[in-house]
Amino acid sequence: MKFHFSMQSILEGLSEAAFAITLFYLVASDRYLSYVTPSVKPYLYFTVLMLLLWAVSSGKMKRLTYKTRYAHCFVLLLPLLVILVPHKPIQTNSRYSDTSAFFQSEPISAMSIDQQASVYFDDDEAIASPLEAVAMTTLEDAVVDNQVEESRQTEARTEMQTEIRTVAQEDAEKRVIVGNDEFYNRLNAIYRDPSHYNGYEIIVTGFVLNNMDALDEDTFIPARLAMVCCAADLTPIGMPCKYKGASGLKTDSWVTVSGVINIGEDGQPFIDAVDIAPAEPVEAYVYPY
Amino acid sequence: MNTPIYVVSGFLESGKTMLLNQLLSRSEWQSAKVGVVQFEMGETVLQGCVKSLMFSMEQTMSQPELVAEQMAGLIASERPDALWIEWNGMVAMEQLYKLLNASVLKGKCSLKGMLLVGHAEMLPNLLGRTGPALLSQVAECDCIAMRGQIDRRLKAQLKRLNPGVKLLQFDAYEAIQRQLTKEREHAGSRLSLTFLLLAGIYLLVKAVLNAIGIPADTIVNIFLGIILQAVPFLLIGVLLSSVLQILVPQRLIERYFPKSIGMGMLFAVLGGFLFPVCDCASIPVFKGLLRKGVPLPAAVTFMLVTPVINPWVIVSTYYAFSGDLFIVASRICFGIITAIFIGTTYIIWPAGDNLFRETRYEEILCSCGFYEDTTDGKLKERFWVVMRHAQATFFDVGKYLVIGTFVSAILQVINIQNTLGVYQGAGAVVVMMCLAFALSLCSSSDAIVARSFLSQFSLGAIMGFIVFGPMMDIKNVLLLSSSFSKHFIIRLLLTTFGVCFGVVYLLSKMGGM
Repeated sequence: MKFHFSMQSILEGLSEAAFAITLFYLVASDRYLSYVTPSVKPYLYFTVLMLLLWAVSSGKMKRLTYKTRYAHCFVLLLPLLVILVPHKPIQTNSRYSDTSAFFQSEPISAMSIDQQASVYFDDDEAIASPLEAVAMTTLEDAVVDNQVEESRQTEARTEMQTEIRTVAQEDAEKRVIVGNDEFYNRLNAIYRDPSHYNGYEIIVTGFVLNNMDALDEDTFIPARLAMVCCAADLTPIGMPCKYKGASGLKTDSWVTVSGVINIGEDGQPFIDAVDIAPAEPVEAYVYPY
Repeated sequence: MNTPIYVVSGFLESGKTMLLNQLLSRSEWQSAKVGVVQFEMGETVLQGCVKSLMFSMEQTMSQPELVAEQMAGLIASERPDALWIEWNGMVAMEQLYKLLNASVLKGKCSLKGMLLVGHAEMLPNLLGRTGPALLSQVAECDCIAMRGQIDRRLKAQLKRLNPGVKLLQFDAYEAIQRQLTKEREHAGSRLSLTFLLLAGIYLLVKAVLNAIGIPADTIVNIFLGIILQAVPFLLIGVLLSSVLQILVPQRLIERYFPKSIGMGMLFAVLGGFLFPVCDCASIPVFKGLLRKGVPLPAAVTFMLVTPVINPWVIVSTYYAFSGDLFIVASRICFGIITAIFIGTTYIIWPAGDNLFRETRYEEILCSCGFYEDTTDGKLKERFWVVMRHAQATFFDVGKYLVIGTFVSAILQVINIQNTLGVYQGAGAVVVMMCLAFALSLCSSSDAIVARSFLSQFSLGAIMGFIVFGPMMDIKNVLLLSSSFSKHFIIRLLLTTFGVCFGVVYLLSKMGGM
């Protein structure tokens, strides 16, 4: 009898629990990063707790009913279905490929200059990506493919493994290696003080963005998708790169560019490409804040 | 043995005893042992029944244990094949459920069918006036036996209260009998089946979309992005709204909310600054404020201004426009001015009474039941009432969020922005406002999208996008429609569009944007 009367509460509780557990899994496994930025994390945990509270207390919240209504449970079950059916994250710019609207010639800089140092060293800012390791090796492979001197290669590898490269190190070698997790921070640092980095070597991985009206024949952008709030606002960002065969590169294919930082007539930095090698796609997005 | 219970309810003189007699004289019941319990002092049912009990409503309310005991006694001594209950139309079904849930009856009987008897000419009147009792009966019954002609309006009204209800003529005894006693599928299995069906449709739609060249996975990512962003805020919104509705006594708001409308609106704007949530949360709170007697102009101002000027939005705008304080300040100012103007229109032309959906069934039927008397009572109990109320609102509003998000995700992927040509001046502002309406972006992510239009549109048009979008879009209109009347929503939408356009266009001209 009791069971009969609280069927609706039970169904609601089950939907809530199922959604909460799935959401918890998404957050705990960092998969949520395909949809929203890390800043939403505490809110998502709050949602998990709230829904679990509702689910376990559905007995307490029970209302006596004879008719069991369940249509409203789909408020949670529908998103759950969408989450559970496998799907790929948005990987490249293809979504915007025929518009110049989303073109950004520079990484957006919001943080004030005086924050520079703290941003620079703050490793917590870096977003842990499940694909980090894969991406790293790719970058290394790219270096190998390019047959850069052996000593340098080992050097680069150690540096990328230690991850934190100080300004001093970079300055000493006059080289910036843009780690996949540091894409925004490193590029932003260069944009903030282009003249300092003028002539530095740079290694960066991104997808080829060369189908914008605003780009010259011999310019493309090794870009990454940046997420400010959620997957609805993904925008390519990156530093333009001068390369003779730029228009011949396959749009949206992933490449590792090594080159030299230069300053254009407009005062904006760009990369003079020395070498371009194919790379494995980096699945993580860039989270500027 | 578990005795099946069938309930016939309706108002006095509605003919329920007569109908019961008709049903029990049918051949199906001739050989059966039938018990009858009448919760109304009236005609007795004699035909075919083993034994009948009769209780007055007063007795049922005052001594439910005694009534339950007597019913248990009847079941134990007579072992009837079925127990028919005649229930008074003035009393909410919940009373009966409580009775049947009493420990002496638990496990001995279960409710198998419920019938409401009514008169087509009287029912519409009664529905609006008699409070929750009749509404709960309409909402809960399996079928309604109706005297007189059932017109379309009544049918629509009843179907809204209870989508699955069967409407039958009073004398269609056979059909009534069949409806009442038929085996009903278990709700759990129906839910699972529906889920599987939806999963199938979903996979099919995905395949079709991919086949015609629309990237379904991109829609999925955007949909989930917006949902995961919005659900926490919707939760916060419904919790705040429920706390407001249940824990804050009306007199507190009446005493402390500024009396003058001007101060009230100022208060609303300040509230917007301090309220770090998006539009998904401000709409439930708007509803809560109105229910608590906050004047409409102030409440409207609050709802419209919050998503434009809350701290999150300020930060993301600052970020999106590379720290351009002029744009941030413009967005805040335009938002405040627009919201205050719209609030003012409601002072000059008051909205009247038809603010909420025609008949407020939802409120009366709100699953928390009777929350009017809940500002008193123990804190612990009140906590659970808040939770129940929040949960009900969450599910109620949530469905509109899910639908709105789907529409918005699809519109974003089919790239309607690309079909736009080049516009100038006023035309550009209108186009950007329409785009903001269609895309339904979350107010903390719209700035970055707006920025990307800088190469195509003037700053004034961009302003239209980031000021109007958070105030009104497809998602918000759907969220509002969960509790407000069409009339109110249309007026609000048109006013917001007009005022927003005027403010943005004039001010951006003056500011040389």
